[in-house]
Amino acid sequence: MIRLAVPAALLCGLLALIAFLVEPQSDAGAILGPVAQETSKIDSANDRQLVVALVSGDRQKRNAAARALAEWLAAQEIVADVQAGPEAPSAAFLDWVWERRFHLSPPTQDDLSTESLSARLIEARRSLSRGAGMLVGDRLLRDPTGSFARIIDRLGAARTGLSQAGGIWQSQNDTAAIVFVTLGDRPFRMAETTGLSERIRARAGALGVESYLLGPRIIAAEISAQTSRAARFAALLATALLLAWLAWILRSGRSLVSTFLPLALGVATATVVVQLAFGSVHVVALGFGGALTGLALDYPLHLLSHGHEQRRQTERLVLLGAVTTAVGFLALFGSGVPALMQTGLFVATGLAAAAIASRFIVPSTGKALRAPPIERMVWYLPYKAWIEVCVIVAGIAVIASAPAGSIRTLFEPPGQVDAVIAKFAEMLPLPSGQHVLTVEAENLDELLERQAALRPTLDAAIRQGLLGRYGMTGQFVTASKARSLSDLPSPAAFSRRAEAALRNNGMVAGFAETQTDSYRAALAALGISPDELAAFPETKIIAANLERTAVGWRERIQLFDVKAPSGLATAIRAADVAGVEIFDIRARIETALVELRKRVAKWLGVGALVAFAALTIGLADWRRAWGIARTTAAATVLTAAILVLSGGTLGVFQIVALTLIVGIGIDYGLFLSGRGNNPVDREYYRSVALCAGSTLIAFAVMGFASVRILQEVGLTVSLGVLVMVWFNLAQTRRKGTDAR
Amino acid sequence: MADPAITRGWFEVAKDGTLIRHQREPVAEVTRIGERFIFQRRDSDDGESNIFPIPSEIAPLLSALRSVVQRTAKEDLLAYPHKLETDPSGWRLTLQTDVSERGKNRIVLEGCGDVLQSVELQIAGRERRRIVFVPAS
Repeated sequence: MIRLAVPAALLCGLLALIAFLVEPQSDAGAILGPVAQETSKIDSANDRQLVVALVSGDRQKRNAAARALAEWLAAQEIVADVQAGPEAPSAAFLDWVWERRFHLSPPTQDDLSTESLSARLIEARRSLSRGAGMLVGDRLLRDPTGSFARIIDRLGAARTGLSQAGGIWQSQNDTAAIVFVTLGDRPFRMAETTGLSERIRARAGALGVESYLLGPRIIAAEISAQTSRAARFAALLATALLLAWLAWILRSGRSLVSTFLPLALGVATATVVVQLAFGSVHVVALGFGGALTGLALDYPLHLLSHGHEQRRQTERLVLLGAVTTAVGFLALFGSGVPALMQTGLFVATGLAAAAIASRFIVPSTGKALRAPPIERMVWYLPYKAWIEVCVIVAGIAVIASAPAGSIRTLFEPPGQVDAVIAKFAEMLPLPSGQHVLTVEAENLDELLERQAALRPTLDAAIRQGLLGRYGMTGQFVTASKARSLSDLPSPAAFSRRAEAALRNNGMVAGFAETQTDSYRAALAALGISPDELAAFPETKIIAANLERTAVGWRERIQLFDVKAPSGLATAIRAADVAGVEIFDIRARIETALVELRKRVAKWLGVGALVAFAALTIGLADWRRAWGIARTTAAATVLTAAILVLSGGTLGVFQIVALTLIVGIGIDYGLFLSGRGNNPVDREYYRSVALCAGSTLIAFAVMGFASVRILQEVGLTVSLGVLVMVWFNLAQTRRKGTDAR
Repeated sequence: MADPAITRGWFEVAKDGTLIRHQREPVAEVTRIGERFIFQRRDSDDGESNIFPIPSEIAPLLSALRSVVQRTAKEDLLAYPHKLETDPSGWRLTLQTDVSERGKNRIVLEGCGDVLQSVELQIAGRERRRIVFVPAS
């Protein structure tokens, strides 16, 4: 009893520690490095935007639904702001713009000529005579420099670019009412975001309209939710099938517990060790490492399958197999990729802990277990060593000569997300997610100057049809060098010109005094800080992509309707503005993935060599070690070649899964190499059959998952196990002859 | 400024209750004054090409103007703090619709007997607009 009670208590302690200590992390930067920062962050103001499209052929119906939904959304705690249609700028905002207008859009010397002031007065007077003119009218008259008028125009351009009907934004194709939502400034939580999107869909359905949601957090939540659902389903199904399989084999609840306990202890120990070593546990290590640690289930099965006489030898082989595989996985440290380093440590620790725990937990029953009689499948393969070497060479040739193909991303959005994005592309002008234009500088002023230098190039690109439009802070705020207000005429000089302009238009010259007071106040106003931009909803969205970096400021410029990416990139590079960079994020990610794949393959190769060295030392028999290594290599290479021929380039996780095949190969090789067909050797075949059956059940279930990463790992390991068993059953002696 | 910009035109109350301002001079344009938006159309435009959300500080003024022209919701108007002055030439009703940082926004109605002669919208610290009603010729 104590054999189970102590480990169970230890497991409870570890689980409590995990609940208290472990911080799961899902940063893509931990896999792809800095390039992932462009796609993985979902904490900026822009990442918290959510667009809801309410589709109905009946405009009144969809507008009514948009109003009701906007009202409901505004009352939600998670929501910071909702806009279903154009909103009037607040009085406080217009006052701020009025006060700081010379800092936002300083007048030029030309703007201050008498002729220009005259022309502006005519415009202002026209505006006053319009019904809508009362919204800003008098200010246009009091500021004939045009500064205030320009800002109001730019504000209009910074809005959505959508038309409205009945006060509600309408999609470009006039099929949907559009509601813009800004989520609150709080950390992304998948359950919270998923809950909100489900409630929005339910409300829209109740209002009789179809709804579509789009936003970085919504997509992230969809991907996470689908992956979690698929992983949970696969885990539950695999556990149920494994339990049924092991219950049938073991026919004892106690044996069943002692089979699962080492695996649970291994995973729990690995989680704590990774947390202590790295300060957090990446979801890749947790999920992927957890699955790979499934190999640990083999250890108790080996021990249960053998009688008292073979106990010591079996323990030795189990420990040797665990150490050899662990050493192989530790090589992932060389990759320098934090998530994979964590995976390496996770698997190594998990396997070692499970092997040691098996030694103490699993009793020697001596009881014959039900197991598939795979010893009957032993087949004759003359010149096995030479054939295996040929398979290795041919397999490597196939892998090396395979067409490169397109590198697949690590996590792909579910199909319905792509469909929603395509639907939104018909309804809204969406900024390009692929073509990235960034401006960096040491301070905000320098950033704005660089944006000002870039603007003529971007404006020319629009005229040349390379680009639809763009959005950046510099369109709204001018750099302070460009707004050296001391160069502007004195209030007295301005007053003289204003008087002349008023007279030219037959207006009362005395009004110049009011205009001069406004001019003097604008000159004396304080400069603009980034915090002020974030204070108003009207400017917050304009400066949403502005962010502080370790060395200064950076803004990702929003590019809409990029028609000729290469032409645009050439024009921007030719402009040679410092701190400006344009690139194709997809191409960068592909390059990063190719690099990552190479690095992982290299270090796993190194790991395989180290594992072989460990095996040779552990066995103290280099011939046997070479035999196991050769068979393992042949089966692994053949698996990889089949995968390449059927599906193209191998993904990163498939390569790491191949390392598990190596671990499995060493395990099976240790138990089967040199075996004959006597009753004692039959126990070895049957223990391997049990292990292979368990592994196949777990990974075949993963192979049918709806998420690609699970599918790939599941199919890779399942195929690898079959090939590995097939190679290990090949014998150079005919059936019926005993090897020993 | 002692040099007012003068426009001419007429008001119409639409079937749905919105107020429509038809301007004839200096530029022909139609402005529909809704509860949240001003919809503006000029002769040169195709449809209601400009829509302006009504700022909250101006909304009470336009709401009062709608009530006055439509001769509805008298009680809504009188709910504002108000002052009635009379003299031999007629009466003057000042409604204080809002108090902003700059001062008080007001709507001033002038008339004689039961004839409304003018409505003046005063935005504190900004501008004054006076609408003078003349008998149809």
